[in-house]
Amino acid sequence: MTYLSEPVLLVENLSLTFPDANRASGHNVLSNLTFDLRKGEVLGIVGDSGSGKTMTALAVAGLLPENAEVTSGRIMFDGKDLLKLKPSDRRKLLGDKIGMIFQEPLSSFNPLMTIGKHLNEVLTSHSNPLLPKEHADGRKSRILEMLAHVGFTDPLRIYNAFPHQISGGQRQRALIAGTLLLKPTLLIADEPTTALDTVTQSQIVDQLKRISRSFNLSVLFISHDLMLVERICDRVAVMHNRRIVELETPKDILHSPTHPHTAKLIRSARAVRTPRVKQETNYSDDNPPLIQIKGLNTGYNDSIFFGASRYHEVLRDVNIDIYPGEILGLIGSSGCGKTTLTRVLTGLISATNGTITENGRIMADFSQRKKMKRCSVGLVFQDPYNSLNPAKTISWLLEEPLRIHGICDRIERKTRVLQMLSDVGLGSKYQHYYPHQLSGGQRQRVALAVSLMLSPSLIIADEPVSALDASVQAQILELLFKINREKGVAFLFISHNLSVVRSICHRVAIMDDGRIVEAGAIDEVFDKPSTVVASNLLKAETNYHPRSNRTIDSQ
Amino acid sequence: MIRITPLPAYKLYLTIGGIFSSFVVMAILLSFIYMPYDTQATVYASKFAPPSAEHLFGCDHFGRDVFSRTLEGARLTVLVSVFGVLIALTLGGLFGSIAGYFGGWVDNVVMLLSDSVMAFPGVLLALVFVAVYGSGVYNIIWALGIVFFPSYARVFRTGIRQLKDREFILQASIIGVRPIRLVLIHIFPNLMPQLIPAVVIGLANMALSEAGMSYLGLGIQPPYASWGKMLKDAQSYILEAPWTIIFPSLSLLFYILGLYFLSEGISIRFGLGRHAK
Repeated sequence: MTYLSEPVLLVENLSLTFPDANRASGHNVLSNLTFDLRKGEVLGIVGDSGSGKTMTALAVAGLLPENAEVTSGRIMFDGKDLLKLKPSDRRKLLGDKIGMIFQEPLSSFNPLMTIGKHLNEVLTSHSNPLLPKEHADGRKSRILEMLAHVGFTDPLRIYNAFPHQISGGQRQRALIAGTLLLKPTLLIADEPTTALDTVTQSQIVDQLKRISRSFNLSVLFISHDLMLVERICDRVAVMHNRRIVELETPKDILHSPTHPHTAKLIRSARAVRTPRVKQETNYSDDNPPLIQIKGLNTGYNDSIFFGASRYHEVLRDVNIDIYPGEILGLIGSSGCGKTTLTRVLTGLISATNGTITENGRIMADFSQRKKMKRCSVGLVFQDPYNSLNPAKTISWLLEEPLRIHGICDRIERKTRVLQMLSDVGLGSKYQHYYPHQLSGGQRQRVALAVSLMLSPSLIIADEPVSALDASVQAQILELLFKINREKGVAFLFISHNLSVVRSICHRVAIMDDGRIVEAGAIDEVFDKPSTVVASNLLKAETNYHPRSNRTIDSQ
Repeated sequence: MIRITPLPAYKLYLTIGGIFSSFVVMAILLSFIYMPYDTQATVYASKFAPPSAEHLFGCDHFGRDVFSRTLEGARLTVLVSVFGVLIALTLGGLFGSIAGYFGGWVDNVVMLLSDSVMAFPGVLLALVFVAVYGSGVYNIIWALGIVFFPSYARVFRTGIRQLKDREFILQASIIGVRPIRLVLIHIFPNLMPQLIPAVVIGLANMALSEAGMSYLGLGIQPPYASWGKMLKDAQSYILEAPWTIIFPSLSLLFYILGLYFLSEGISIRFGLGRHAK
């Protein structure tokens, strides 16, 4: 194994502060960090948000914000202390020797340049003395070779594609190819798969591991997902409260955690994924459906050239019933039309064909150009940092639905807001806060409260927990459950994470390429999927968390 | 997670800007309480009188008190720039919001209109306007407002286009907020970080353009004093009576520089433009 090889990166006693005008000591972000990374090793860093894992990555890459202050320690790389290098030398090192990939691959690309052009630029702008001056043809063949290396079967198509023409997973792989072109010795990956769906996630992680082996590349892999880290890493560092509390092999960490925080992380990671006994709800199949969707077709015109356009079908003949008080899971890979379905249901876009009925009343009949009436559907988005207006206070946001519909007067509004805040588990002091003063989990509670204000009969939750830490995920799911039980609100729960779906949903619908391919009671579909698509999806998830499943079974 | 404490530089900019522009504000306040001389009274005996205890900034070629005329100039300059910006802001807000909210061909038409205004050199267009409609203070304000509206229209249009597909705006339309309320109440407050520096810099640009127009003789008409007009009158006597040109120039410089520093400070504070994080 590679453990005995020499360290490529050695971080010793690193402490970092941000000067704070209100405090003499400043705002500590890292304290006394010590770890090493050996040649060809994949070292994972896990921790909740705010634990300092991104700051560690930025410190190694030399991309710290200007006002950050290193108070002690050194970062040895390639025999040099990175903290003592001149900024220009440091920049040269980043790219040539240290590669970095980020969470959101789209923002790393210029939309007007093809992938090939981006990768060419990588080669031309870094005049690496070790590389011979190459001609355009030579560069192209090297790029194609590298694209094949990161798992593309048709590198030439990717070479000529624009960033928006390829999927998120492909973009992330193209980005990895770009950083590998310069043959770095260290790759820093900051949450590289968080924005991707399960199937793609597992592909990228496998790819990364294989690349690390074949190029003898050291990887610093940062993630909040303990199970994902376990899958790829040789050793794992657990960060908590700005320091590393444990640094061990993944096996040791998972089976005999020594630090209480590690144990807590493992517990909550499992809690999210452990199937549990379904609580009592007032859901029953015998009731007539709450929302009935029949023969829904949607598409958009993709204009190609002046007037010419091509019709893209997104939803094809979608039929689905949602019963009062149930939690219906909706799963499917990215781009299968889940989000479009939620947009149609909430009336944000129109469909071309089909009907939607609520409690037997026709809400929309798109074939007769009858637009969607505002029906009682609420929506909770995936990203809690984006779904609350940053310029307004929490109480203003919660009052807004009541205010615009003139439902009740000022005083009544205030009492309802306080009641709703306590319903979603927030104290009354939060009413005066602005969204940026809240954590991700708290924001998601507020987002849920906003959509509950008009007492809807259905709430669509579009990946409501995937942007949150594992421990917070469990709390939010608990809250969804509680609201479903106490208020009898039906949920359409969209997720990539199948074990979450299994643990909280009564029924599940599987979507593929704009169609509902399978729907039924959760255990039936999960245990005996009747279609190929469904069984493929379920397999990808099992591959993704092999050991977590095993540990659960053995308990 | 990454909390970036603002650089102290913005405080320096705001302080300098505040001091400079507060001179102008004090001058205006003073002009309402105490005006040493009638700004239009020509006293032949005191022609080109140098600065003294009696005439703080000296006298010009008609023997008019330069100090009093500088105070009056401050009043006019601030009046023109504030109301000019208000008109530009209203027009820009209206057209920019329509273009940004509806997009498509509406956007194309509105932006074509605003770009064609932008294609002319600003002061030239304002001069044509004033030449056609006459050169009263109100016409100048209107002319400047119309000339400067496209830049505000762009701020509004870009901001609304960026925000209208954000999830919190989608959320608002799902709960049933109507378009006008959506734009005014939900989107506008989020544009403030971009708008405030644009307004401050707009005040400075208006003041400069007004001075330029007055200098060319198509701005504020005699006998009223504006800084640009005073510069035009004084340029022939620059060697005999430098005080007639120094004081209005300094006033203009303080006003413009103060506003530039303020705008720079605000931009740094909010991380905008070339200070983008």
